[in-house]
Amino acid sequence: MSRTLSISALTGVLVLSMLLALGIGKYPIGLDTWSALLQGTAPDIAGSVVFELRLPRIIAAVLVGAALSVSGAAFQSMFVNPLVSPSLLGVLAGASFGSALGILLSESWFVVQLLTFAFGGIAVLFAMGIALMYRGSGILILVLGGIISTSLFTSLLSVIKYTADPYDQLPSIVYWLMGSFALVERSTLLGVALPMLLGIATLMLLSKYLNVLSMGDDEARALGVNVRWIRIAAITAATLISSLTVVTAGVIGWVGLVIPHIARMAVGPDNRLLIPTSALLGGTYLLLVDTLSRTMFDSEIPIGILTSLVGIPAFVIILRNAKKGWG
Amino acid sequence: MLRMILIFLLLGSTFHARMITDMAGRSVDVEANLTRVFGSSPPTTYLVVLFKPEALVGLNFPLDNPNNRGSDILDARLKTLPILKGWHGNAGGSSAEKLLERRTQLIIGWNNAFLNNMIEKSLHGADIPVIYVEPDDMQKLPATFRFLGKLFEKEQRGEALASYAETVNSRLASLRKGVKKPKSVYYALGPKGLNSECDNSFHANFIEAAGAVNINHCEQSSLIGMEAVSFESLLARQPDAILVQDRNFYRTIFDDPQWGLLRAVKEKAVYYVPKTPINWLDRPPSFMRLIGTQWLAATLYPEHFKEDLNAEITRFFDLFFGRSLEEQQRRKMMQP
Repeated sequence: MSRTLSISALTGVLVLSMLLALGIGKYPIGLDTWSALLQGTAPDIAGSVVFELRLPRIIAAVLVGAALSVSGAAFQSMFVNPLVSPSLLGVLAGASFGSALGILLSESWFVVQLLTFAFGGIAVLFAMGIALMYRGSGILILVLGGIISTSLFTSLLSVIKYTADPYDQLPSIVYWLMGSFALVERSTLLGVALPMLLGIATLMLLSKYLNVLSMGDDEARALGVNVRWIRIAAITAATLISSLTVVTAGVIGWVGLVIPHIARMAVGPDNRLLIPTSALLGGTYLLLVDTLSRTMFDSEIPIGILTSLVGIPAFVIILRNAKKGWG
Repeated sequence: MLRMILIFLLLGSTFHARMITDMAGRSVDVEANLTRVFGSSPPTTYLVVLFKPEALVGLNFPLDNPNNRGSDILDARLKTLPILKGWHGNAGGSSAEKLLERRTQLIIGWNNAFLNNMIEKSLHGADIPVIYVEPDDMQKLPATFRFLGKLFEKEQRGEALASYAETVNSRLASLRKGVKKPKSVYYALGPKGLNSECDNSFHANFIEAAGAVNINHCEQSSLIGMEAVSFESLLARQPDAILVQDRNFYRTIFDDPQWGLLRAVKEKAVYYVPKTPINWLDRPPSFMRLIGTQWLAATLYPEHFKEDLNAEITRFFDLFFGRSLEEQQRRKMMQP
């Protein structure tokens, strides 16, 4: 009972936040314009502001927040470690490298996005490849593979930064790596929304098995769960959606680590409840932060900076008042 | 080995040293006959190009890049110089060893709050003197030209460039006085045109110099700049004109239905910044602003700009680069 209650309450908060975000922005839209918009008689600019600029951005912020939090939650249960974030297996490092490579090599934004996505996956495959070479050594070697992959792609990123033209490409790369929703377009959103939703849905469907995995591999096997395939499926889904977050908005840290924590403190460790809660909380959180970022000053504050600045104090307060722990 | 080289350099340099007070007010010992000089950053390297291009030991970045098209105009020999990086943007600095290897006599640094002391720190005591000049501020350019004229023992050249800069500054000052209603300008950067510079940034102060107002009010937070701007805030502020740096963005802006909502785009008040041989306005910020700002002022306020702009461009290229510009060449460099 309390389960459906909390989920529907959070959904309500998310929808309210989305409506709020739709209503505020730099371009003033009066009440009469809103009623004209609903009747379809509003001037072009107002319609464009609401439907072309604010709405895609709002949806993107919610999706990215949800995707990062869900993949963070899945990783934390899979690795039975609360300090794990979606970047554990190198996906964010790989995707960052891919973006930087794209910005360096091509003037086409599509190429940048394609390389971002591809290298997010390549980095994780690399980490898993290392783990596979030591078959049977389990989760520890996978984590080690992730560390190696992360540092490999971080170094490669530095190489790119070193070779980039400091007056043109480098600022773009640095800016992109700080994260921003300012460049979200409807066409990008149309491309990434469906796979992101599918990835999130997959992790929700896997949540029952993730519960078993978080008891440890041996117990999971004893319960008749195919540990290997569940893990591969979960990692694939989490990698897909994390990579797509970078394609959409650059690198946004901190969300994937903290939101699952907060969700776990609120609803406990059962993934069947934890994963949807993380999605709703993460979506709401990133939406609110992005709304701040686009309304506070004339030029926008990179959202990666704000997520940490807003997130850290909130996390510390919540940690202090935490009642429910891990497991 | 390094120590030997150092001692050698010290011995070599003490013979004809002279004391020079640079534009940051520091006293520096500099050799009399400068034949191997390095600019710490593109703005100062391009200043050396004006006085003694044959003395440059290297460049900071390639002569031709998305923001600068150097080889059309500048001395062909410059293209053969090694790229030694420098202290600017995120370039990370030049290597002291490489500069020693090329027996660099002097580094000409950029007097900039974001860059101060970076050069000395990364030289780690290597004995290459550094002097600071003001390469980007138009008000300080006359003094810079005179200073460099003295440094390279080409006082006449320095004086000619300085008096040109003074003419331009007073011309622009009287234009600003004449402009009753300043136009608002959005300075579009990046492949999507959604990055810009703050109004107080040294990357964008030519907008005010041309008698206009930058719509992006904020505080410059880093040397790089390029703050993000949301399209919605452009719609809310409706600039009178848009200045575009990125070539591909300029090519698409008129076909983009979203940008078409801006009055400036509808009225075709969108202007592409020329980049031959060095960007006329920024990235790097340089003496090119003397012609770039005149171009901007003439474009924004044709009724207030009294000179013939094309003749002025020809005159500038003749004086600064010793090139007589052909009509067709001039037209080509204004195109994206």
